Amino acid sequence: MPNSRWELYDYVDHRGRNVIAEWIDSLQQRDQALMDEKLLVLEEIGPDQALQTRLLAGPLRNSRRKITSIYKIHAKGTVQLRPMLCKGPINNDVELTLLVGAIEKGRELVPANAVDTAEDRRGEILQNPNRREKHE
Amino acid sequence: MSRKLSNKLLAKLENKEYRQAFAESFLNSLIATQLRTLRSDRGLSQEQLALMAGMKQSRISALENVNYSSWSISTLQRLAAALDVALSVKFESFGQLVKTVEAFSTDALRVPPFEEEKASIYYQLSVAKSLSPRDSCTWNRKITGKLKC
Repeated sequence: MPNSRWELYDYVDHRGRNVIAEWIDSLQQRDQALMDEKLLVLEEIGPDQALQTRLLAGPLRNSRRKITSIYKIHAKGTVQLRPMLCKGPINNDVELTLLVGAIEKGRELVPANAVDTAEDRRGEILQNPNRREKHE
Repeated sequence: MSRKLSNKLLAKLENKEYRQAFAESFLNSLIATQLRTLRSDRGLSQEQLALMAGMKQSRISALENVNYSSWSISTLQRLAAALDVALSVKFESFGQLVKTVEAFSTDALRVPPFEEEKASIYYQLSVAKSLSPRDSCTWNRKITGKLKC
């Protein structure tokens, strides 16, 4: 099978702010490096192999205990980095979209509603594909 | 298929803490992903590879996690022997690291076991020794067991 790279996108809010880039830039240098590196690897190996090597976990349950289309990245830095993402949502075979910057403390997500927010944002992108931009 | 790292990421490498952490993290991803790729290419389960390397299955599972970071050269050597490949550990420049990251792909991680590349190794050897094509062919037949070259 030919090796094709996945395209990574960032959610942008209603004011056009790339909240994912802002979240990564707000991290400590070490954590930024880990995040940047893991995202490069994710683009290359794709979600299936990322699940097998535990770079990704999911699909996750929302606050109503329902399985969603949301996954979380596992990166172990000075904190447990757990940004939320989904396949697609425009083209599920070649695209991934980062939706929420999150961390985990004592097995609890911070922010606690990260999965619900990620689901909402995924829906926003499906309604309006301009609510995301290529990850840089 | 290679890529070009973004200018934003290249600029971040100016920071020493960032570039050291990036290199460490990439090493962890590289080894875990390659180990899983090589095991999968050989059709081995984690239990089978564990048996061949004299480890527990849970250890193989941990080593295939991209966030694992407590590598030891002796463990990697045992895995290399089990997979019948050479282990190469070396220091390199960050310029070389950028090239390695840019060339990173699952395909680039694939390494054949010695048995699969034996014929090609001996062919190169025969060329180096300037054997006649006929001698080279005879040698190749002996190595591969094939009747024709």
